[in-house]
Amino acid sequence: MVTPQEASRRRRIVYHASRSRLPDEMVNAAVKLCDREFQAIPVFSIQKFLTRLTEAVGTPPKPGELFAAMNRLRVITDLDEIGPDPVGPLPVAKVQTAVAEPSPTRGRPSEPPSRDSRIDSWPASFTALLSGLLAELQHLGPDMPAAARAGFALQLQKVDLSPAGYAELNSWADEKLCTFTNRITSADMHAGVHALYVWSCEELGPIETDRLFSAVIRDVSQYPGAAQFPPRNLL
Amino acid sequence: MTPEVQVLLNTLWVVTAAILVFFMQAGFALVESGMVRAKNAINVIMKNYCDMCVGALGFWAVGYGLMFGLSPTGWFGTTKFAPNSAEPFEYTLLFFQMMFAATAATIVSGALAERIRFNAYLVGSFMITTLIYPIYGSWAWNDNGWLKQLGFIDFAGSTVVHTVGACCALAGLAALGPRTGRYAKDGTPRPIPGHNLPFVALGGFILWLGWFGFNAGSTTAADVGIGRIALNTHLAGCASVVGTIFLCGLLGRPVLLTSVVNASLAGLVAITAGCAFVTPGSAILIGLIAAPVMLLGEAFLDAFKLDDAVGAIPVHGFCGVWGTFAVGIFKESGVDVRQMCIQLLGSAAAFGFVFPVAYVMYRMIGSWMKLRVASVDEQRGLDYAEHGEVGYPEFQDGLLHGGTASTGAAPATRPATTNRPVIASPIGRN
Repeated sequence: MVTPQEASRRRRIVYHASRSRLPDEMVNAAVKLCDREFQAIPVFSIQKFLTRLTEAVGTPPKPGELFAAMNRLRVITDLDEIGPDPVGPLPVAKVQTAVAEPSPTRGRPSEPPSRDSRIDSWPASFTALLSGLLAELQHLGPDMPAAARAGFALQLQKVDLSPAGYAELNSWADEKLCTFTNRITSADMHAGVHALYVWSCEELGPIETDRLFSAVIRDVSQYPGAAQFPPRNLL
Repeated sequence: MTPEVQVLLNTLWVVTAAILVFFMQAGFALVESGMVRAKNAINVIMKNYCDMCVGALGFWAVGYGLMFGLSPTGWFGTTKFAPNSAEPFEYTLLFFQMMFAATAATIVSGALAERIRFNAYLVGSFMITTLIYPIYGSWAWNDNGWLKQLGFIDFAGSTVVHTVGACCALAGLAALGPRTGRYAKDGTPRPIPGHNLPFVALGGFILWLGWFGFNAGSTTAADVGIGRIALNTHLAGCASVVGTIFLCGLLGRPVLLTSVVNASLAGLVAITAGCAFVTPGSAILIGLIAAPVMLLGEAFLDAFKLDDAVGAIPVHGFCGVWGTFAVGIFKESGVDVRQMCIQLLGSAAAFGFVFPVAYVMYRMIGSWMKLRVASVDEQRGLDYAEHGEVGYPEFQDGLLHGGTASTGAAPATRPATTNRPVIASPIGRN
């Protein structure tokens, strides 16, 4: 696992280097590939990335230029100087370092998860679940994730949480925290999921909420390691 | 025919009718469980199964005496409690009336579905069959009951059984509140469709079948009148369905299965009071009018955010009142204004007595043992949260809490908000 900043840096490098050199669908595939397979490994090898990209979608039009552009961007330390994160305000972008990103494809089978990305703890499973829910909500409206975070924060006031859990969940609601840590307890995680459930029921209705949770649970359950930390158990 | 043979035939008929009424419990279970989400199906069936049991015991011990014991004041009976040495036909009547009491209680089950705690519901059912239903029933059906003395007519229980059950359900709704997310912030109701419409249809058929025993058995005698009663019962149910189809067409609404099944029940409820006193043509009119009464009743409840999960109150409450009132209009002797007033008084007395008493009862149960499940249990479904099992384990994995993790890792424990202890889930595929 890498830090959220490093994950965002890798995604920015891939996106900004490729967007003026590759067709749109290949840019999207490159970003997805980066998120899926290159956010859990400590060293980001551009050569290895391009090899995998070629295997996945075919040879890029100007591979040499792409390699050079990525290399140039890699030396820039200021993230904003590289350019905005392509996933941008999407909350799911924040957790890609911790766990594999749940597929935002609604109603379609998700792509098979990478062997390199694993859910290796309950907080990681919890992170993936919440991120997946926000990613699904994004499909319902661009303002939904922000509304969900705000509603989530309000719901948290009504439940008993450990001090650490309260701090982490509130930080997540404020978008200051991307990945939950082992300081959060099981009761905190249950309460967190439930807070989002109640908000969703009130906002979207119980049927849509059940569908939403069901889809995300199915999605997150496919990731490596999810069998040991089944997201269903967090409901 | 000798009197002995007549008694034998009466006994056979009434016991058979009671068995048909008993079978209505299966109908209620199917209708109600089909109309709720899959995660609450078992809970609804459990409530139907168990309220009948606690109700039977309570009715035998206390209810029957209150309802049919000697009533010097006309307000409740004072003898025949826990009968152990009665005339043989008295046992037959007790058995038959016991099924009626269970029917009144089980009407509540569907209305309060998906949010009431199982234990609290059973306590409520026990109180309904032991006290509330028998006391009102004594007013209308005890020979010395004050309503009966006034001339109140409720042949098989449009008010005594159905309106009383609906008033209890209404009180429960007022005490419980709607299901989470049932109404949007602007008050718009959000539909929560049931998970198994074939169940609803089968339940409707079973209830309809049972209704022949319910109404025709209320003669408590094997006489020639039962044919017309059964015919009237059937015609009213059919007319209400036709009326609903017609109304839906007029309003440009789709004809839903749930509407059709509820419409048939509405017609059956409406004819229950007067099935022995009206002509078949009048039965059809009573059934036809029950259709708009039911549809208006549904809209009325939604306007007040009263979340009746299966539409029990419009069917049993509003149509019960309509059917009771209709006796004054349609009985064979002609329109009788005095009778109409008495009929209205009977319905008003049912509401005036049952609703407040049941409301206080549910409030007391709530303060004693919590009436409503924790919202996290509502999320997980009452099947798992209240009973530790689910109706469709092969198909529900995606929706369900997986129980205790086989890893013994952190989320093996459950949050403090739930009432249920940690158990190993039978559904987990960890």
